[in-house]
Amino acid sequence: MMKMVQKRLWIILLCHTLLSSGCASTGDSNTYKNALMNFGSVQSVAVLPFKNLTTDNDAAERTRDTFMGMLLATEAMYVVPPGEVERGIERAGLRDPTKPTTEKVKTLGQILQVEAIITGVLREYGVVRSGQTQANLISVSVQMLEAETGNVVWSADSTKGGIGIGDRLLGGGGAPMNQVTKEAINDLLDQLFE
Amino acid sequence: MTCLTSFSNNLIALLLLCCACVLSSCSGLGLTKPQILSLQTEKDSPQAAFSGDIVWQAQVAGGTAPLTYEFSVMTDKQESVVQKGPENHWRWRPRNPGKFRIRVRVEDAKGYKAASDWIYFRIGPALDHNSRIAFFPVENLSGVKAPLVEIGNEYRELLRTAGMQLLSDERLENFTFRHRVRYSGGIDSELARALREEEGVDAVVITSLESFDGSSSPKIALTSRLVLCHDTPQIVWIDGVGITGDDAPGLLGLKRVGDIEVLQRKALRTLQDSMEDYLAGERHYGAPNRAEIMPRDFYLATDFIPGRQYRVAVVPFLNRYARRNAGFVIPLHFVRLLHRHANLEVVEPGVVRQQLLKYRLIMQAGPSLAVADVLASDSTIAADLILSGYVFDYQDQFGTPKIDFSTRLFSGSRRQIVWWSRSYANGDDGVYFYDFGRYRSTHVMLQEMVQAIGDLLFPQENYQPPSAVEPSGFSIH
Repeated sequence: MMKMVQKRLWIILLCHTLLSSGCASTGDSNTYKNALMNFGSVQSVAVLPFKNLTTDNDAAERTRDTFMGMLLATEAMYVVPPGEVERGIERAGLRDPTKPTTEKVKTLGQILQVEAIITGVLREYGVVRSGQTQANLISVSVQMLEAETGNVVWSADSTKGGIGIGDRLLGGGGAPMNQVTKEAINDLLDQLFE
Repeated sequence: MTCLTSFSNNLIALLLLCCACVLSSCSGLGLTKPQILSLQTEKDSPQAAFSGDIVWQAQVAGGTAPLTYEFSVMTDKQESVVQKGPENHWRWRPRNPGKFRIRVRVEDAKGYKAASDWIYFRIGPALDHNSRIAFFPVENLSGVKAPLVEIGNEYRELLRTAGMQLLSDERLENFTFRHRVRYSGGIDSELARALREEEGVDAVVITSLESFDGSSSPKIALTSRLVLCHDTPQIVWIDGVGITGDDAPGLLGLKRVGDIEVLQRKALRTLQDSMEDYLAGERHYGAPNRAEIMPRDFYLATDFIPGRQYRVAVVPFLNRYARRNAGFVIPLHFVRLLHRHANLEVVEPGVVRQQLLKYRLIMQAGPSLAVADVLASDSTIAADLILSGYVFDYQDQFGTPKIDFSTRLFSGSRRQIVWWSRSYANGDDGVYFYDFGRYRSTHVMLQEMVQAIGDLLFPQENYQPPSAVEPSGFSIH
């Protein structure tokens, strides 16, 4: 009888530990938000070209285009068109627009008349394989820099897609790349507006 | 005596009232309701499209000032308010042929309303069979080698046998040599003027080959348009066709077409029939779509008013690793789609190109504010809206069709984006049962994707009169 009770206690403890750890892992571990920043004051932003760490040449541009469109669609802030951003980059003399210095962020902010600049890094984009199974995966991180000070006020990342249990058991190629990209960007926007 | 006094008092009061009524009506203070005496124009029906302004004048009696006049046009059972304000005249510049009905409604300061009867007015095509037409060499946007001369010759012969007065090859060749014309995908203002003055040409046929495959499973896609040689060239007709040999294979593939020449003839005949319809005075809307392929994501500014009169410039899309010339194919589809909307005036792509070259506007990442300012300027093309975008994928040569593109509509006056969308589709999306629902022609698939964007941007049924919504800038930004 005692053994039975002990066993049950162990099971309850294990479940509790698992649940607590599960809850902890869903927290905003990879999100940084400046507590002093008033995000409501950001009326317009410029999204700089994303740094592409993948082998797919146009992946960063695809992701950036989707990010810009979906951010615009939230109607929370106006996103400066890419042509204007390009012009701003040229005028600011930004050699590598994927990693601007603090000074350049300030200059860009003045040229483009925006309150914030967003930079991004595309870390993974494309098909991943494991044995016979394959699926699309994206991993992207973005940062928002305040144009007035050049400081990072928000940083987040998202990884979506990949091979799940369903893919392993049932096969299939996973969700289409555009779908996975959309999920990742939705996740980033959720982190921004939560 | 008392009775007599009260009677005389009543009489005086009645007289005073009558006097007040007469005086007030004479001074326009409006105790009377407004009454429309006439709605007329100095021109008789029918008139040709693009033949000048037709001024409609309304005469109204009575009503309390100020009066508001609302002019409406009805086409195909759809009424649209084209002008609302204090002016009692409306300057109509019809661009499309068809049967129209015009009427005016008047509302005075007290809210009394009056409406005129509908007046029928017919607009004929801008051209007829006696018009002189120059046939430009076919532009190759297919990205592969194609028999452009043969396609052009066959199309030209079809038009000639249909009774069109085409400028002879020799004269056209001499003209292009004299003016060093190298680009045949559009016409700019200077060239249009020169053609009209030197050769007496009324319009130009511009044809673009979008897709060509002469293999055993052939395919062809063409877009053709008629452009008036006015000081500002105007598109009067545009249509496209995309067919493959596998469109209707029939039982055991017995009806499959394996000869590109058969397809080519069919495609050119379709275009010729469409052009004939236009010349016969029918308003052409193109073939009805099978189904629209909605954009996967889109944004539309909340205060964008789709029913207003807009002048739209479509600039080439930025090609991001898609196949060669894909950035020119998609804009052509948008030109074709937007041309169908009565409230939109689409600038001839050749004119847009001329301005981009003239001001050396290089768009490495789409139009900037500076580019938009130039295109929106009254001294250039005075575009209210500028449509641009990115093409990420356009596969029409081998295998299943695949398209991936995004669009941006830029408001020239507000200097802001009013529309963004992302569309992508594969030809075999949603195909589960044999080949049912499979797209074989990229042209057809693109047409349906573009159509869906057009319906979201400029919905025909949810029309709002221009002055019903006051523009208040962007809502939340």
